[in-house]
Amino acid sequence: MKVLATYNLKGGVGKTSTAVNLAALAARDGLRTLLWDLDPQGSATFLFRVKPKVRGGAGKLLRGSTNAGDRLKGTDVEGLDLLPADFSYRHMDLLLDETKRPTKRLAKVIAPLADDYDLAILDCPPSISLVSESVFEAADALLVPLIPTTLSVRTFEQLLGFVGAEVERPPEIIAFFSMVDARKQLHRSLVADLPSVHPSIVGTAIPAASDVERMGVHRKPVVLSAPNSAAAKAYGALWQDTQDRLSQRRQR
Amino acid sequence: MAQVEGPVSFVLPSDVGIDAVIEALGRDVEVVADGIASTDRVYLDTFDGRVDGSGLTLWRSPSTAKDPTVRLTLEDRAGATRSVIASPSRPDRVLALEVEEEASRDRLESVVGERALIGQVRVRSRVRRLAVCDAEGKTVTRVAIEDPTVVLPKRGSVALERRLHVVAVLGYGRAFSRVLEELTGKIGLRRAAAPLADEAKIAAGVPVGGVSSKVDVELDPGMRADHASALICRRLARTVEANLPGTLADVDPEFLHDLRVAVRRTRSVLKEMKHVLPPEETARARADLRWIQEITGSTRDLDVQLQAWPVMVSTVTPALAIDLPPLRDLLERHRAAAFVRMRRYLQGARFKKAWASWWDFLDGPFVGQATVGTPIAEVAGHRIAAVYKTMVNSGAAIDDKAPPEALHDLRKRGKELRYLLELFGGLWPSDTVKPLVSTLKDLQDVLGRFQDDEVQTVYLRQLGPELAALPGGTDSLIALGLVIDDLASDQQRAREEFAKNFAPFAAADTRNLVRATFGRRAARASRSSR
Ligand SMILES: Nc1ncnc2c1ncn2[C@@H]1O[C@H](COP(=O)(O)OP(=O)(O)OP(=O)(O)O)[C@@H](O)[C@H]1O
Ligand SMILES: [Mg+2]
Repeated sequence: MKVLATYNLKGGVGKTSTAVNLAALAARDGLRTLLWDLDPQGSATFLFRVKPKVRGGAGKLLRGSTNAGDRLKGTDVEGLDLLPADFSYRHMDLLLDETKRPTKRLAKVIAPLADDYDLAILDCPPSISLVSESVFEAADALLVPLIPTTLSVRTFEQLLGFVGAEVERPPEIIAFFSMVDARKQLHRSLVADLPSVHPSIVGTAIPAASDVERMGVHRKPVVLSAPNSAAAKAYGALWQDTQDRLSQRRQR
Repeated sequence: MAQVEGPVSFVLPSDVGIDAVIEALGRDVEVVADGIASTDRVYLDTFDGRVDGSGLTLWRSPSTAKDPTVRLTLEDRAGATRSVIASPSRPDRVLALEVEEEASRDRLESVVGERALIGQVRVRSRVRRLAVCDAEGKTVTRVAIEDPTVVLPKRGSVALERRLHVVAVLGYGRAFSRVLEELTGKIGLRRAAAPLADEAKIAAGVPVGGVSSKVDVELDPGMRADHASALICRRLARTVEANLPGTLADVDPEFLHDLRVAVRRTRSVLKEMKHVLPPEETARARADLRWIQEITGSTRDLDVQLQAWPVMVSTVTPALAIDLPPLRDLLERHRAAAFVRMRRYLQGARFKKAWASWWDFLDGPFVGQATVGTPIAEVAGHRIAAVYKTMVNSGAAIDDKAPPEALHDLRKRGKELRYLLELFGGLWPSDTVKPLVSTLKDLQDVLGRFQDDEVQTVYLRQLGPELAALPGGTDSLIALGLVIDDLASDQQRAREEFAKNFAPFAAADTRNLVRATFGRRAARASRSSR
C-alpha cells in the first residue's frame, strides 16, 4: 500500500479537493483506495455524504482499541472506502502526545489495512503539529497545494527544510499550484517560472474553477460530476504526475 | 478489514416488475436509477474446475481481434472483485503466468498451477442498477437487476431467469439486511439456487465443477471381478477421451498427463485381472495400450523436464544460470518435435483402430464369459497382498551396494500397488487402507526422486554434443555439468533416505494390517460372513 497525504500549513488551499479527486481517479484506475479524513471539520467526509461519526472516536482508534477496518465506510465511488472524521479529531494532537512514539502512530493505525488497499490518501487539517509530523512519517509522498503568491512559496520552503531535517523517513514532496487564476499576472509568472527553480513543484496547475467550488453542492468529486471540465482534466494530469514521481522514487 | 457481506442473488419472477421492487425498497429510503449497462463475460476455469473448486469466479471480457490483451476479473466468495490485464499467447487459453500484475498472478497461480484457463460459457447481460440511499443521498446498498443470456457458439442463445443482486456497501450492514428483509418479506423473492455462472453452464451443457480424472466408481466387494473391472475401464476410457482434444490442441501439459495416467491405470487393471478376463483379447488390448503409452512417452518426459526447469535453474549460481538458455531452447525444440510426432500418431489410423477395438472388447467379450465369477474384493485383495509381499521382500534386500535397478524395480512394484489401492481400495474401510497408502506414498516419493534424477541425468548428458554445437553452447555445457552434479548428489541423498522411508512401509504393524485386511483368510472370512 502506497500512502499519499495532502498537506499544507495554510487553510483553504485545496487540500481536501485534491485528496477527494485523486482518490476517485485512483479507484477508477482499479486501485483499491482508502481515504482517511484527518480533519475534525470533516470536509472529505461531508463530500462523500458520510455521517461525521466515528464510534469510539479518535482516541480508541489511536490507542488501537478499535480497528480502523471496522470504522470504514464504502463511498459511492466503487473501489474507494473512507475512514471518516468526526469532531473528536480536534483532540488528535493531545491524544497522539499520550501515545508512545506519537510520530509513528498514524502509520500504525492503517498498517493492518496494507493488504486490503493499494493506495491510502490522508487528508490533513491545516497546521503543523504532532498530527502532521505523524503524517510525514506515514506518507510516501506529500501532495502540497500552493496558492501562487510569494508568501506561500516561502512557507513551502520552510516545509521543505523541516521535512528534510526532522523527518526520519522523509516523504517525496510533490507540490503544485492550486486555484490558479490565469487573469492574474503574478499567478501566470509564478506558475511559469517556479517549477524550474523548485524541482519538487510539478508542471500541472489546478485552475481556480467554479466546478470545484460546486463540489460542496453536488457532494461528488468533480472528476466524476464534470469529467470534461478543465478542473477535472487538471486533476487527471496531477494524478499522472503523482504516479510518475512515485515510480521515479521507486527506481532511485 | 471489516468484512463486507457477500452479495445475495434472488430470482426475479417475470410477473414482478422493477417498479414493484422499487416500491418495496422505497418506503423510507430513496431509490435512484444508477444507469443501465451491458456486460459480456466469458467465464474461465481450468479443465478440471480448479477456480470453481476454490470458491472463486473468474471471467474475461471477450477478446477482439485488434487487442490481444484481455481483462480478467476474479471474484471471491465475499463478492470482492479484482481486475487484471493478461496478455495470452494463444486465443483459446490464458495461463496464470500471463497475468501482468504480480500479486494477482501469484494468487491465480496458487489456484490453477500450470493448468490453462479456458472459456467455459459466455453470458451477455443487460444490467439495470439501482442505489438505495439514506437521507443524505448516500448509497447504502446497491441493487442490480440482471437479464442474462447464454451465448452458445453457433447455436443461438438461451435466456436465463432474471436475477436481482443485492450488494452491501462497507459500513452499512444494517441497511443491507433491511433490503434483504424487504425483498423476501414484501415481494417474496427467493434466493437463486446456484450462482449465475453455474446456471449458465448447465444451460450450455458444460459440466459444472469441471471434468475430473478421478475414478469415482462405486464398487461392491461382492461384485464379480470382471464386471467391476469393466466399470473401471469404461470410466478410464472416458477419461482418455475427455483429455484427448486438450492433448491434441496442446492446451496444457496436464491433459497428456491425465490421459497417460488413465492408460496406465487401465493397463494395470488388465494385468491384475488377467486371470478373470479372456486371455487373447486381454493380451491384444494390453499391447495396444502399451503402444499408446509409448507414443506419448517422450512428449511427457520433455514436459517433465521443462516443468523441472525453474528448480534446475535455481540449483546453479545466478552467474551460471545465464548460460542455461541455449539448453532450454534445445529442450523446447525437442519437445515441439516430439509433440508433432505424437499428434500424428494420435490422429492416425492405428490409434483409431486400436481405440475402436478396445471399446469393442469392453462392450463385448470383456464380461459375461462365465456365469459365476470371483468377487472383486477377493481378486483385488489377493493382488494387493501379493504385491505388497514382493515389495517387502525385495526392499529388505536393498542395501548400500544394491544396483540402481533394484530400486527402480521396487518403484515399479510400488506403482502397481498404488494403482491397485487407488482403483480398488474403496472396497475396504478407509482406516485400514489409509496407513498403507501413506507409508507407500513416502516410499514412492524417495524412490521416484532416485529414478527421476537418474532419468534426467541420462537425458541431459546425452544432449551434451548437440548443445556444444550451438552458439553459446560451450558455456551452457559447463552450467549443464553443474546441474548434473547437483542431480547426482540429490540422487545420492534419496538413496540414503530410502531405508528411513522403507521401514514404516515394511514394519510389522503394516504387515499385520495387510495380512488381516487383504490376505486369503480375510477374504474367506468376508465371503463366509455374507
Ligand atoms: N481549484 C479551485 N477553484 C475554485 N475553488 C476551489 C478550488 N479548490 C478548492 N476550492 C474551494 O476552496 C475551498 C477550500 O478548498 P479545500 O477544502 O479543498 O481546501 P483545504 O486546503 O482542504 O481547506 P482546509 O484547510 O479548510 O482543510 C472550498 O470551498 C473549495 O470548494
Ligand atoms: Mg481540508
